[in-house]
Amino acid sequence: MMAEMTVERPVDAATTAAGDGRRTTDEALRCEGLSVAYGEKQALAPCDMTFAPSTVTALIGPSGCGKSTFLRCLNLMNREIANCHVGGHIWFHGQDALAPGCDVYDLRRCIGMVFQQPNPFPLSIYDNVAYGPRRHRRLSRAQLDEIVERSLRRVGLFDEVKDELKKSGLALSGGQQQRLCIARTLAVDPEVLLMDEPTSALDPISTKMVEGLMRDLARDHTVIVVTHNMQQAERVSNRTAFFYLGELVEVGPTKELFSHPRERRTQDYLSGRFS
Amino acid sequence: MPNQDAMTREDEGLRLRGARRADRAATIVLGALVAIVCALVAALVFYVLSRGGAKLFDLSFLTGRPQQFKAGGGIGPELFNSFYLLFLTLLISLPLSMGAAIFLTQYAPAGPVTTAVKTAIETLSSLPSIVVGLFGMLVFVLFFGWGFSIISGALALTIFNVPILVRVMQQALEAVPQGRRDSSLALGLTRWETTIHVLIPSAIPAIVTGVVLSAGRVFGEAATLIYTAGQSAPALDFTNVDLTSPTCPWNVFRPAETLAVHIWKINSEGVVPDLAVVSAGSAAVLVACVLVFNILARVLGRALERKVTAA
Amino acid sequence: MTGVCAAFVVALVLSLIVLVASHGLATFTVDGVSFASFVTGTVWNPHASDASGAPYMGALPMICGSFVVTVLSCAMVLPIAIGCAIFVVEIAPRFGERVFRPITEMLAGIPSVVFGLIGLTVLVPVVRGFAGGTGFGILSGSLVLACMVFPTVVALINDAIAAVPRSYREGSYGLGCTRWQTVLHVVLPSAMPGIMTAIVLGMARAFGEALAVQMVIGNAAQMPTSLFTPAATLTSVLTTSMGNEAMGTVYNDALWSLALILLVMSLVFILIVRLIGRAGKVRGNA
Repeated sequence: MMAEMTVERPVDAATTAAGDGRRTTDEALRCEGLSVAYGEKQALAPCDMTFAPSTVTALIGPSGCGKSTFLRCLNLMNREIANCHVGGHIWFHGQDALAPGCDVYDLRRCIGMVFQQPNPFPLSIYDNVAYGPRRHRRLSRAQLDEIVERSLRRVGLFDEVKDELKKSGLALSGGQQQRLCIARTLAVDPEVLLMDEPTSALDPISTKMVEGLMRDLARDHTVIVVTHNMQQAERVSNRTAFFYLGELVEVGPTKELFSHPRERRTQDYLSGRFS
Repeated sequence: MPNQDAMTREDEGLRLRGARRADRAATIVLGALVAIVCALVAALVFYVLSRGGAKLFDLSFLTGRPQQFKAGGGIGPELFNSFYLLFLTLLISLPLSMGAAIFLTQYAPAGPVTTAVKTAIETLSSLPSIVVGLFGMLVFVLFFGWGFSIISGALALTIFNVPILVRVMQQALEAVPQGRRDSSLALGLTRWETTIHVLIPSAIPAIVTGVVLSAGRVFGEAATLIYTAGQSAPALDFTNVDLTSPTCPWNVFRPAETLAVHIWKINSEGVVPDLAVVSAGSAAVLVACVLVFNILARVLGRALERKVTAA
Repeated sequence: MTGVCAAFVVALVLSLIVLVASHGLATFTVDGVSFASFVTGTVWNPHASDASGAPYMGALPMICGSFVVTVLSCAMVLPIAIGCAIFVVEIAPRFGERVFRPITEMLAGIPSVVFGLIGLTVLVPVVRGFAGGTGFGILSGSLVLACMVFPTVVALINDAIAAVPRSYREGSYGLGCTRWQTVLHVVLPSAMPGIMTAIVLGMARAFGEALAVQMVIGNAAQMPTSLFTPAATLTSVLTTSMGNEAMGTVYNDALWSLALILLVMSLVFILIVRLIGRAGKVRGNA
């Protein structure tokens, strides 16, 4: 169709088996001068950032610093908010996701999102995971079963729920719900996973499980996670970006940023002078 | 999908395109549906107002006496009866529903009592209005022996109106922020003082809006009235202040046909020669009044809201 | 003191139910009409008696009439109301707030006799035009009722759809689903209990509506065989006959029995709403 440019997914991404690093270039996603405004109010000053494949990038900063806003831009979730204006470019597979002709739905399938509050649909566990694939493809029962099982195994939930796949997703515990949501996202096979404070509503044990999952997923996905918790950023991420007052202050390898921050503001934040 | 072949990739593309097309089609179809509905409603109101519109400004129609077998009858007594009944109904139902609403929101102990009251109100609100009218006939008209009269009609309308008002007031009172109530109680005020001085003033804009809207419904109600307030409108003499005289407008024991009942009656009997003109005119007056109530509800509510928030 | 008001309301409802029931049951207890023949008989003419001396008291034509107009009108309203609610909640919320809601509220405010009058002057001639006959009948009654219950139903469905948590929508959008897919597969199923409540309350309203239906349905107490022939409902018979029959006569008792059926049905509708609410709650917690 004329106005529909779809984001082409490279053949290797679709054909290589999971686990061995699906991309060879060092750029999965790149933002260029990305800025956000709600009506008149600027929420994020223009910033540039590149995300490498098979890495975890943590976005940290105090509340209201723009990190969640930034994350939600990456798969255009803020298109659903009235009077939100996004400027700049988001390069994904050589195409600008913010260009007028680019297809939001296609982009969101390649760049999945996990939310702060676990938000399973009021459907059965099985239907939750099968939701995305069912919408996007015509699948046989067996294919669907296979996708559901694989996705649930991937998040370590399958053995816990395999006998009650028909049970409502809302009946699970908070940690299980969040893993179910991750499985639901994985079922549509995204390349990039955006996570918006995915553990802030969870207990410590579930948090630990989800953190392990993030590291594990980073073997074949690009993971970008917003977190309040600096220890979490240190534990799970390869790179960290620090946001402050709607501005990207600095970004670098996690170890470096935490031990030798270049910016004074980063240093102050990390040492707990403000939060 | 790790082992995705060309076939399923193509299928996926088709599915996506189909989904997008369905999305766009749905938006268009639903938009058209809403447009049609809005147009129909507008046409309906326009039809009613335009057909009887001339009568809206015809003083002899608005104040004249109705005719049973001749053309050229007016709706004077009916119009007066409608407003008088509405006034009496509100006079009785406002304190009653205010009391019930305050009880439910502020005092009601959780348990069977509250459940009973809530169930009763819910039952009352879903009762067919004709059943309410028949009950009114049984109790007020026959048992108390008040006959077809204004008082019987007003009491029956009260039964019809109370559940609506209680719900409106309950919602308005519940919408007052808990903090405002707590801070008043923390100052040592009693629950009753808190209700009178804090809750009701904060809730008043919503209450007024709801009351005026319900007034519109009471004004147009007919099924409740045909067997309580009666279907005849004796001529009224506004100089007569003898409250026991059937021609005294303020006498609550006289029968009183309202505008809505009038429309129904002349159409089901069909003996008035200029039936079409009179009913079109009456309908236009009725709808115009209800529209005024609707607009009034909005304007009043907004004005009060501004006053309360600014004060 | 406020407790007195509340107690008064409860007493009112109880006395209403008891009084209507005592009069309605008189047909069976005093006049000796069997309940079964009352609800299954198809001939309604309590003035006349059959060979055995029992009056013709078959309420089935009215019961059928009431149910048919109720179901038909709600079947017409449901898809339109769902479509409109989706549009104003999901697609154009500002339009919904500023234009659509005031318009439906205006419709809700129009008195039922005016609907009856419009039905009489517009609808009946149109129906007569394309279906022949008198134009009075089930179809005209259902159409008038559909207009009347639409505002109630659409407002309730609106609330039900708007009450679906934002996070459900985000979850679906986040998976790359279109708005329509999200509505169809997440929003509507989640709002289902609310939608069902809306339709049941709409049915309750349609079932109990009296004057508008009475003005267009034709008032012939015969079994409805076609959408275009005159019929009667419980409410229409009550409206037209109650004034003509003296209290205490067999005919009058029979009318009270019809009122009792109306009352019981409205209680049944409330019960259904309650059950839906309870089922929704159970599912939400499970």
